[in-house]
Amino acid sequence: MVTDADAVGRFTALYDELYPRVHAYAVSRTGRTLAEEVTSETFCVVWRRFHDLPDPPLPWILGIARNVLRENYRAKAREDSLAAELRHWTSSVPDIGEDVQERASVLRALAALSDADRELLTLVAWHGLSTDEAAKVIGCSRAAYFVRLHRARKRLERAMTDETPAPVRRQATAYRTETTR
Amino acid sequence: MKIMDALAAARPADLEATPDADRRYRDLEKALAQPVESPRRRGRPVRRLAIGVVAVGAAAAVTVALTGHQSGTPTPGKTPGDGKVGGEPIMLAADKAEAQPLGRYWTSDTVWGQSYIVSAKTGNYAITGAGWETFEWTAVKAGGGNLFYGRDLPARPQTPEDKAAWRKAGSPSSFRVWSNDHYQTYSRAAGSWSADHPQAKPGGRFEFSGMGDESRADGVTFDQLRHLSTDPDQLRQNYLQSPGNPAQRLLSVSEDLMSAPVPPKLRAGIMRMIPRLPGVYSVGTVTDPLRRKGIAFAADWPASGPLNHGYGSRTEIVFSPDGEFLGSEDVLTKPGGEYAKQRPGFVINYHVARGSAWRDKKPSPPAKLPF
Repeated sequence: MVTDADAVGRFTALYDELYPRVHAYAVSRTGRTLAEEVTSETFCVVWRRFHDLPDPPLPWILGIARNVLRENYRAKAREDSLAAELRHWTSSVPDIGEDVQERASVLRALAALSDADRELLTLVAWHGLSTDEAAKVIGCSRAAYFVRLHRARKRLERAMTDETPAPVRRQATAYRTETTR
Repeated sequence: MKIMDALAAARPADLEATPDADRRYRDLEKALAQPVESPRRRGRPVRRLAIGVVAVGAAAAVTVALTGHQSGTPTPGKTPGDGKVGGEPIMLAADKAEAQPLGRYWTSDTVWGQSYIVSAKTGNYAITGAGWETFEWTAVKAGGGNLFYGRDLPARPQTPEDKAAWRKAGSPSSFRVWSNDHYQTYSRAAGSWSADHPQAKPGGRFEFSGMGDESRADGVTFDQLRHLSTDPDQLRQNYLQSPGNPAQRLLSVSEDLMSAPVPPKLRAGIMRMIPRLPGVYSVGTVTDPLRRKGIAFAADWPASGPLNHGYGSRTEIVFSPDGEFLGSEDVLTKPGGEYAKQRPGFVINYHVARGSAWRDKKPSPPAKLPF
């Protein structure tokens, strides 16, 4: 058993360093309502499996958080919490800066995707993981991750296209009508 | 701005949080109260998989001269999407598609590639990097399993001119290129096959977007595909329901044919539908990255807006004259941006089917490299 002061010290340092990252992952997967609880439970498992801690630890820890979410929370509770989070994202874009519209539009498109697609995309774009590391979190090969990310990205682009501002969309509709007669 | 950059820029600022002193104390106390388990017995050794990953999407490419890609420019004077342009070859191919047999497993062996320009003091040259081969089998019946394999394909200079420039640069055995937002190194060595966790999915479901509604995010069953209308007009309505520009729609069709056990009659219906999609026009005969002759239809990517990266391009979907689906590729139509010095017809990236097929026994990935 690891009970010595050294291990406790290392675990505490790990908690202090990575709590924000694990919390961020939990928020993006299930919303802030459950995030603290998920993060707390994740670090319990990290301590229990402290002998298995790899370097770098983050992908492994996020993989644990992923399992905690899947195994400990009913789908309904996760969905409700996440739905509130998605509303928070799309309504809390600050009304300043020139890229406000694009940010809001990306977030709305992201909210329209499946949970699996959102996870694939945000592991890389928001949580700073390389595709190799993200594949470790998901538990798939790098090839599989690449392919799934590619498809998720295409779906995000499509959802973004659907967000085209109204005048442009009217033009597109007119074009469609003309060419499909 | 590229889509992953736009997504990164849209990251909510308040995802991270630091625990307050009380929360920190309770978390640490709760965790440390538990015993530490013995190290887990490691499973089989994890093979180092030498598959290079492009951070963001993008499939890959091969060059005009190397593959003999012969896409022409869009034929002037013909109206996209009128269902008649170049329609005859695809109708004949569709007839042949109808006659092909089914099986218990659907296998999809696909090859990806992406073009990069390598900067060298002795002169830049184009390579195909991010080359992958993926092999997946899925049981048609739920519970029958699924297995996904991937391997790295060698990166290489594209045309004879590129090869000459590569030699001039000292024939490097790996290539460091800018990939979306970071440098990535691609090797000239091939990797070996590596599978996902075995039986990670139960099988029985396939990705397919042409059902005409949004309710099937978890995939469709073979039965659903078998009972889907094969009427080209109905299929057209289905595909028009999903958002996207004409090129994205064509790509969806291509990915559907790549990912799902589309019954021959449905494939035939889809092929007959393609020329009727808005913005789609005939390209005529092409040679694909695996050097197969095919007939292609294309749709342009927008000339402006967030999906434009400074150059003109189109997505082409390719079928063999016998009605086999061959794949899709993005082809340069107007040089610019990172492809300012390439000629129209340059293949920017591709995702082609090496051997999508029905099998009665559980298949294994092919040992032989696709090229």
